[in-house]
Amino acid sequence: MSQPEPLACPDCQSQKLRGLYARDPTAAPVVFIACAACETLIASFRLDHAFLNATEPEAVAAMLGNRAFESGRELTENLDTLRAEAQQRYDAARAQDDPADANSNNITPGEAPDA
Amino acid sequence: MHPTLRRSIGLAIAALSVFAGLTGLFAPLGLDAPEQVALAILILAAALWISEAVPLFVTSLAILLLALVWLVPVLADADMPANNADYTAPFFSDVILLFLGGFTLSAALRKHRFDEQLAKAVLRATGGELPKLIAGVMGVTAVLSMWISNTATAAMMLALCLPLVRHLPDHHTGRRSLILAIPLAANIGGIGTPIGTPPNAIAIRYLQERGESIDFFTWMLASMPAVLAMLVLAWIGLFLAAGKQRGHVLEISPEEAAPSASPFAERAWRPILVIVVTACTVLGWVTDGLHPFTPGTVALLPVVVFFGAGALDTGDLRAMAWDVLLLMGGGLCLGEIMQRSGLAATMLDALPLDNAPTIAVLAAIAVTACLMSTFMSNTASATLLLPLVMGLSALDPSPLALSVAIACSLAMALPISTPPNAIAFSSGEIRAKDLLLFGGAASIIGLALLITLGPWWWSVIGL
Repeated sequence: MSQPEPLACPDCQSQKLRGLYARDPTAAPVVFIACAACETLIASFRLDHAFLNATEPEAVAAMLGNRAFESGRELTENLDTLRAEAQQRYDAARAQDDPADANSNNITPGEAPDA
Repeated sequence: MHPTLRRSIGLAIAALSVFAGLTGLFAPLGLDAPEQVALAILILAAALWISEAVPLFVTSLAILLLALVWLVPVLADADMPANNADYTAPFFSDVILLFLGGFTLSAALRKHRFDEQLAKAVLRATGGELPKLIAGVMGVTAVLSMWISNTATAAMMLALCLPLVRHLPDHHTGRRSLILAIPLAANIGGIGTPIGTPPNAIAIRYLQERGESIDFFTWMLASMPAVLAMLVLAWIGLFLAAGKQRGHVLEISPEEAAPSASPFAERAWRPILVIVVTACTVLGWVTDGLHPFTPGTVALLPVVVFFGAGALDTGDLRAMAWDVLLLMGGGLCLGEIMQRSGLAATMLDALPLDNAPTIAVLAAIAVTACLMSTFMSNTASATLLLPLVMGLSALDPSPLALSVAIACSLAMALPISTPPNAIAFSSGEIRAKDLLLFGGAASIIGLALLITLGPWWWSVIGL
């Protein structure tokens, strides 16, 4: 699998980033990636299919959104796949992550910005 | 059965049915060419819907594809009416519009958190007493499930109830009762309105085709006694199952039952618009027959107003369960295939049902529908059964359609039987045998009530 280009700040070109995890009760969670040096917003990722391992019912609710599943079997398999994929991708990301790397992001909890 | 084996068997049967249809292997059954094609499509649909070898909506689209490229030319060769529009029209029929409106109401009510407000208000009102809490959870879940997706309702209620359940000791019997209350009430509540669950709307569509239209209010009148009786019986069962620990009072912390930020807190006009338009839409549905508009036409009101006024946005539109609408469309398309090819009439002629006692026929159909739905999608079960049974000339169409639709929703014995069951089971608070015991009992009692009292009640209200 090819590695994506590392994100960089469009203003100061720094590759040292920080992340802000924003929860909004009425919308999907968003992760903002900002420049750690000058705070410029670099990217935001809307987590439409968020996986929240710590609070399982919330994870299910976040994944389902307004969806009306028609099959209990389909829903169960979706949940199982979501859990397995989340863990697999997390393990892969951890394996690639080097704490000494400037790209190693520090995601901190935060509140959603006003709509 | 292992999922890969299940899917492989489904695909193999689907492929064999197409092969049999193409090579005339169904001819010895005494079927003409269009009926052979229709039978091949029916077997393919049943195999794929039961095995879930492909997503359910893909099977629906495969039905449409085969109707257009295979059945229509065969019908034309046989000098029978052959129009593509007959098979594409079900995908945008009045029933589909009705459900689109239902999804839109559901999305708007959830986005503005009216469902959560209602649930928390009920939790606060119970004071944490276990019997009241179970009743409150069942009541609010059932009411929401009549209007909002059963799946989304169960997920929301579970998210609210799990923190409460965890106040109870590990082996407290109240934990199981409280969690089981959610899927049981969600499944039962869906029976209550035409938009509660797709089989209801599909049954109404088949009745319309037979000139036996059931309007929105009449459906509620016909089904509500079953809903109330089932809820009361389920509550008694869960109350008794809590044993000696049922007198427990849960301490509900202020955070757990505190009202969320009120949708009206900022005096925003959109939540008010949502409430007003929802009320107007429901009023339009329940007064069907007093005005010239069909339920599907009324359902366009919230779609146009909510998206036009910004109460919902394009993201909400994309997030809707379009796969469910396609699944329903495919089911209705399959009905057209069976009717127009003549297969439905031929199959009914082959069944010795016309001389059987009415109650025996109803019982056989209801049990079949419930058994099928226990192992596969309720909607797919209804769409496979309704085109067949609606042709039974010995019975009135309304009891038949109501029995099939309600029996499909009574299937709740397994974690895979319905999405609310699957969600509750995924919490880890209940076991498969709990669902088998309580969901199975609900299925059996519900079927007994449906078969014995259902036809009587429907005749009382003039159906």
